[in-house]
Amino acid sequence: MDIESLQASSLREIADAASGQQLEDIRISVLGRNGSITALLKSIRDLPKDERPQAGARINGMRTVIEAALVERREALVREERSSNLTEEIDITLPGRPHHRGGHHPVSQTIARIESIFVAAGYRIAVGPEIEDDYHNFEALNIPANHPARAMHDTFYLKDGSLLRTHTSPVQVRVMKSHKPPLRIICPGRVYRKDLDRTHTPMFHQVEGLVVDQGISFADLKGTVLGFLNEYFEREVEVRFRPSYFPFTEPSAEVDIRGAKGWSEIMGCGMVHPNVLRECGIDTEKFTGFAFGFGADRMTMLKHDIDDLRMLFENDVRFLQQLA
Amino acid sequence: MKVSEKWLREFVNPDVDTESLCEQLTNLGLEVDSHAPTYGQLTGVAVAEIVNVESLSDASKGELNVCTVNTGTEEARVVCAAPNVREGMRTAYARAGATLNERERVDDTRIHGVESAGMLCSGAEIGASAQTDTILELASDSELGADIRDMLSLDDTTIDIDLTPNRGDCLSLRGIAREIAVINGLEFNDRVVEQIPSVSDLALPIELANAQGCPRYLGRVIANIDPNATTPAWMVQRLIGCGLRPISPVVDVTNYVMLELGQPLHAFDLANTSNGIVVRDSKEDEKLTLLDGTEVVFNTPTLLITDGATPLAIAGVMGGERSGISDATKSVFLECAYFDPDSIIGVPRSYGIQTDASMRYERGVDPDLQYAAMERATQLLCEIVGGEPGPVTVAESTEDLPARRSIKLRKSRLALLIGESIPHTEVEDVFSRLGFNFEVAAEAWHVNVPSHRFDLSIEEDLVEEVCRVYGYNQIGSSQPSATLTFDDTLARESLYRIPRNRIAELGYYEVVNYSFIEKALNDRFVPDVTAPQVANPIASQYESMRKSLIPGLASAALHNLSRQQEVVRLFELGRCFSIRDGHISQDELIAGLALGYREPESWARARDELDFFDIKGDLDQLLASISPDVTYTRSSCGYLHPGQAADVLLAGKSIGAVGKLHPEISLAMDLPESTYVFEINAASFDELDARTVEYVAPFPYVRRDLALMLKKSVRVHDLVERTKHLLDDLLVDVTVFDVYEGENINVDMKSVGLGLLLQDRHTTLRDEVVASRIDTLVSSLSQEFGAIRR
Repeated sequence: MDIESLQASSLREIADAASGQQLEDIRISVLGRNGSITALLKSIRDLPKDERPQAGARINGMRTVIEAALVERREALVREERSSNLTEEIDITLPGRPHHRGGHHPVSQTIARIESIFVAAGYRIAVGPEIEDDYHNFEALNIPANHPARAMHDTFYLKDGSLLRTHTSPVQVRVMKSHKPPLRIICPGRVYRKDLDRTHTPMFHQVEGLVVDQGISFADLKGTVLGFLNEYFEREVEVRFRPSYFPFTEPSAEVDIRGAKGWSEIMGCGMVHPNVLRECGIDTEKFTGFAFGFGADRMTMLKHDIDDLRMLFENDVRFLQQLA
Repeated sequence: MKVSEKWLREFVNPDVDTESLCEQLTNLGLEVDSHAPTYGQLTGVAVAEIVNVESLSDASKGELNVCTVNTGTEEARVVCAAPNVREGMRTAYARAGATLNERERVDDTRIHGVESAGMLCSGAEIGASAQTDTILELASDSELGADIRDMLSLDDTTIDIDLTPNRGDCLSLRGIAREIAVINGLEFNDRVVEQIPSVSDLALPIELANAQGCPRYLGRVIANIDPNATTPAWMVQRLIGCGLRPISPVVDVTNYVMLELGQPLHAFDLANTSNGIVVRDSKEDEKLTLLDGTEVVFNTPTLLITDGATPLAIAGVMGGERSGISDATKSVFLECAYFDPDSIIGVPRSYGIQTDASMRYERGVDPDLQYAAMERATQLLCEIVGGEPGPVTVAESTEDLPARRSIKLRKSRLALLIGESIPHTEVEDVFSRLGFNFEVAAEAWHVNVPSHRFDLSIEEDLVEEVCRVYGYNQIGSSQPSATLTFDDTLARESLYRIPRNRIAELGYYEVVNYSFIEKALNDRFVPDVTAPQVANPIASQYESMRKSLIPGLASAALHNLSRQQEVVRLFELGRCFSIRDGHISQDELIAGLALGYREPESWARARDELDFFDIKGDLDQLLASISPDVTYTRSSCGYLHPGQAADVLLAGKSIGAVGKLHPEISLAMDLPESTYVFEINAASFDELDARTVEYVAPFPYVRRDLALMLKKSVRVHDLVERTKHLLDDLLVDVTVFDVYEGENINVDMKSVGLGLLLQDRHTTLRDEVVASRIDTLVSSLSQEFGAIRR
């Protein structure tokens, strides 16, 4: 066979090859040790001497052309295969492999949020024991034995005479005794009162705040409470302050916010009573302070429109996962 | 305190409606809880005329009549026992379905076998008067069919005020009227009580054996009262308007004066008090049967009213049965005393008796009020029950009476505490309206506090008075300016934020359980430690302070299982309590519980129940944030399955346990057998490692897998630890990729596959080095554990 027709037929075969295997077969039959080109090169010996170099060069030229054609066709086949793969589809609407979901308790989320609001305003977080003594829970807070205000706190006592704290105020006492003003703290935690109905559980969560510094005023307290409530509820809340009574603050106030069902009580606050500051070793002529306290559970209920406090402690996953 | 609005408006009548009046009270610090029509529950009672009276002739049925009544639109036959029924009389008829004043419902009924369609009402049944044995007699031109409330103007409103304990001065109409007058800039009609002259000499001697507890005691005899007198309708309606029930004329008068002025009074039957009065402390084990029939034994010194020998009443709290007023009472001894609050506080609580009087005495009564109250009560008694008043006997110890207070309010202090300046004329106006006498000095006001404001004693109290009347909502608001400080002794982020986040991410929901649980449950989980016990639990299932979080988690799991949840994964973070060496420890713990399937149901994989190693894996993830040095040893934790229990060690120190819940506990609690739990001490997260970073070497890793045959008794942990030790400088990581027991292996043996990831941190690791180190490793493991390489 002459060189030209071999090249033409080989290139045609290459162009028609539909798989890598066919290309390999062509390569072996043309370029292989026993292939057509080897046969042609052997046949050079039969040519006159002066024609041999020219024939050799032509055969090698053909080899280059065929090799290039093979490479090109192989690449084209791979490309074809890749693009044919792209048309294969899976049902992307099938659900992904699921993980178990988990999350924080709604009250934990509320407390964490409140903490971050106050920490951003320069407050620190203080915690303390839940089993307290009479001194820190009552006496140091200007509530002597038999004070009528004790009836406001239906206290759980333990058999050794200690008690379950009725508020987180004992933490304020502990911090005022261990740290010097200026003080800006909030005290979150579990508290206990002997009460059980739609809006009371014998254990609930409080967050209390305390600021003691020079020149702290009732107007500062109002500004702080308003600022916090607006940030917590993420809207301009309508707030009313009204006179109230706590043995550990004077003047004292109760704070109400306006909701769909009218005014609702949300926190107690006031200027720290001089007896409390003195008991904690703070000079009342130099420093004044304010304190406030509210139920984190109640805040959670207001934020998420929950109307029965007991739901928070039923631990029903169907409830918990809605807010997780 | 419940207040009749009608009565209140007799004292002071501002031109505002009920709603605004209540808002004024609330804004003054006298929080209105609710207000409602006093006779709101009285429905279905109308004016009717008796058109026919038929006597039931059967004498055994007593004085029974069958009356035909007409309301103008309907006629009914009603059985009635009242003696005053007669034809042509107009009265109050309650049809079936009506509700009377004390909330009882009227139904059709049979009386002695005779049908009665509803009933005819006495004044008491309607709440309009004290008459109980006769039916109401209305004017003969009363409009038939008219609602009885309209007919009798029973249109009062009862306002319920939730008073704070400091405002004892507002436990009366007069006290509340005073506040309303202040806020509206009005005067209130403060009744001037005349002295009632005595018309007899009858008097009892009074001795104050404890003058500190009772600095003033006024007594007066009113002799020969009319036993048939009844309380007038106007008084009945006012008492009802203030939430009290009429009882008898004498008691009603003492209650009325208490409501009007705030001074409790007590009336004794003179027949049982004739020896005179001695006010003294109780003697040990003295007894008294009270008006309500309960017997009290005085085991702590309690202030008593006695006749010298025997107790007659607990001072300021409740009278005794023997000396009480009865139908047979002919003469009354009236007590009007000032008791020191300190001698009354706590007494009602310790004997479990709260009365209207004790509530007032505990909070404090105006120490100047007794004379006026005595005259007012005498006046009303003489009007209502007649009788001959004797002279007022006074026993008092002026030195024991509270002294009048004068309080200095610095102008600068007022401005500082409020945060803005209120014009001084406004401040002085507030004092004047409150009835405070004051003197103005250059830098301060000197305020003389009236006797009824015994709650005011320090400068700050006056600041509150000024703010209160000026208006809390009139005061501006500002932001405190403070020095920025750095103080690492106080936290700046939530307690245990990291473990809480981590465990939630692992697919556990946080729960919150009460800190107190049932004692039996508490002890079942942790038997060998004593828990603090609540002395006054709200219910017996909340009597014991929890020693572990696991019982609460187990109960919560059960709650969810019984609500068709097939996978339950819960955690809690909270304090647990125990008594150690006489001290209460209250440590914060973190616990988790998991049961059900390993993964949520999916088309893409098979569904397996979880096992020990799932929860252990979760715990590993949780603890990875603390330290890499976490190990496990076999545990004897009581609430865990003995074969599937591990103690968790952090740097060799136990911080908790993990395992399968003990089958006995699962069974007893109705939980599935495969319930897994862990509990660790949260304090372990207090000091997280300050981490340093290791140099990442650029040389390639070499992975070699090693399959070893071992006796079953060999613990994989020991094998791994030894491997780590022997390959120390080369080992990047070792994984246990396979554990096999069963077919083709001797029953005592197991096959363990270790995947070793190796790297030389200084050069490329050569195969010969790897081969030789592995050979050394295998021969060591073979010597120490009898391991055979497969």
